[in-house]
Amino acid sequence: MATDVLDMGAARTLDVGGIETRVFDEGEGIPVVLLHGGYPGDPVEIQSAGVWEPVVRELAAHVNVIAIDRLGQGFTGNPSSPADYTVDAIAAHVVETLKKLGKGPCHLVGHDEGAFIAAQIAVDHPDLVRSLVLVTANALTPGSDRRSVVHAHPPRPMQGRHSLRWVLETSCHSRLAVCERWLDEAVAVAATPRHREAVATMQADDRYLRTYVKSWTARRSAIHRVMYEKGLPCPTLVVWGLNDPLAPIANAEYLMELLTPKQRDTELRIYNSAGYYPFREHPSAFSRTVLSFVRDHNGRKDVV
Amino acid sequence: MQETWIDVDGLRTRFLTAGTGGRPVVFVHGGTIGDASAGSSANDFATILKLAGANREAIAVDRIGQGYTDNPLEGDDEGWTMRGSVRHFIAFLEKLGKGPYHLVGHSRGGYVVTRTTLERPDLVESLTIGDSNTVAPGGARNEAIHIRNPHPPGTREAMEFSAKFYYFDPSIKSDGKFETELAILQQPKIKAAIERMGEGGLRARLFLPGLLADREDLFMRLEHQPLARRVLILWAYNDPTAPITMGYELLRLISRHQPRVSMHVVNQSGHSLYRERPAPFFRALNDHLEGCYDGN
Repeated sequence: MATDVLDMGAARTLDVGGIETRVFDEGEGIPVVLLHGGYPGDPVEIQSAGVWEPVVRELAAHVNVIAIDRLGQGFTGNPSSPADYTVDAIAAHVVETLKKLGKGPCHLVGHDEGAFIAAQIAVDHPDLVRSLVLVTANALTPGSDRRSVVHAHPPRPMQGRHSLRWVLETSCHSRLAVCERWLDEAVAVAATPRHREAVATMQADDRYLRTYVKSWTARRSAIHRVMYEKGLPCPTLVVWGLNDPLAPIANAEYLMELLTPKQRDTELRIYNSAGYYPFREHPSAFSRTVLSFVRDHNGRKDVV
Repeated sequence: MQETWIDVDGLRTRFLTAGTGGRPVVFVHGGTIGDASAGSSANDFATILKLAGANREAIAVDRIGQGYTDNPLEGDDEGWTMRGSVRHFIAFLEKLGKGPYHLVGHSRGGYVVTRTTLERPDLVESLTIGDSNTVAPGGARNEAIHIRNPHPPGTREAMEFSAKFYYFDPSIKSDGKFETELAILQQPKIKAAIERMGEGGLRARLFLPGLLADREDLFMRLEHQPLARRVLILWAYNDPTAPITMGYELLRLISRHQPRVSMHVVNQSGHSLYRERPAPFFRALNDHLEGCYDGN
């Protein structure tokens, strides 16, 4: 089941509460968890742990990198019931996976919807999270993204190689960032019966809107209230691409307005010539920034 | 930390160093020649020099007519302008002979290092600009604070008043740093500079018009030409005089022709990020210096 076609070390398959879960667990030291974006049953895009491929090696040379295929995505199984296509079930699955791996408090690095899940875990389980790195955290930001415009008319057939290439190329600053290996992973995930089932489940009974989006917007409001009233419970680094075609940089500025009043250790890093996947377009710079940030916030409460 | 004096085009120039080896990093302070309200100098970087000196030679220089560096020579009107400050800094780098350097400039010093990178990229390894409303397009807000100051410029009371606005946490500055600045302002040469620049003097006649023209020129150049080295923009989220929006605008301007520009914003700090939040300031700077030769 687990595929390790990527340059990320060997994939492991864990049984997490009956859900087969693909995990990469590389390197030693400070535990840094990478949470990819997307949601189960997306009919246009494919997201999985493989998105982190360009940074895993650099990070794993210094810290313990854990990359998880989230519930209903990549090579991890789908939620056990249609009612569980929610951000709560997805966050719970990440927490259970880390517990199963025997990890203590971790640094969570999340991309878009993965950043949302990371913030949600930090709010619900502050004892499990040392710091947050929120990359292109559009799902966490009030306001909308430009996906509905930019990705309105994908080439057919949907989620074929040609279509997936188009989706990635229109998300990046440079089309050169889209390599064949990245596409290999996306195509392989799209072809799994598991993914097709997730797409069908989300489309049946308007489940995407009535179940997934409902859970997401409700939780998002709750997290915004926490940000406003007491702040996120841990140091937080926001990372964004200046040229993001999907998540405008203005949303990063907006998120900073929400985060800064109550969390002193809030920082923002913006990379030029970077789109929706800044860690793929500037992997070395991104790795350095994450490494130094997690080192500075690994247990020290008194950083100046 | 070591204090050294060298002759730069006939001016006794003072600089501080910490650490040895590696590609040197040079810090350039803010403030304006003949400004009675602040005694900016290389001393501003005392904390950062120690951090940066741990793995390379770290240098901070007193700009012309500021700190303990001499005033411009008699007859050198340009010496009293930002153009003169850039000229003196470039001459200092050449005299030191250790280039190319990593340059880090704060506030007005950000203009000095940016202009140096445009004019003399051969002297520059990388560029870092911190909280500089001189380099960033848009309107500076310092005057709004100074105009409200009820105390005579150059007094401890006036400095305490300014610090309340300039700092997110004004208590950071109260520990000995006023004394350092007051001592600088007590020097006869600084008093002479204040006299020269003050009412009816060179500030209104030469410095401000020159700066206005040079900034416009800088913006036009940056619209069409790259800064030829990698750039980091470091900004304090709560800067009252160089608002964060100016930092974002500067990033947009430089991003047109320099693909390797990034920006790092740190929360809960006023104008002097390197003093209020030295740890995150240095972390972001060090990543930039160490990552200077990174590919993708």
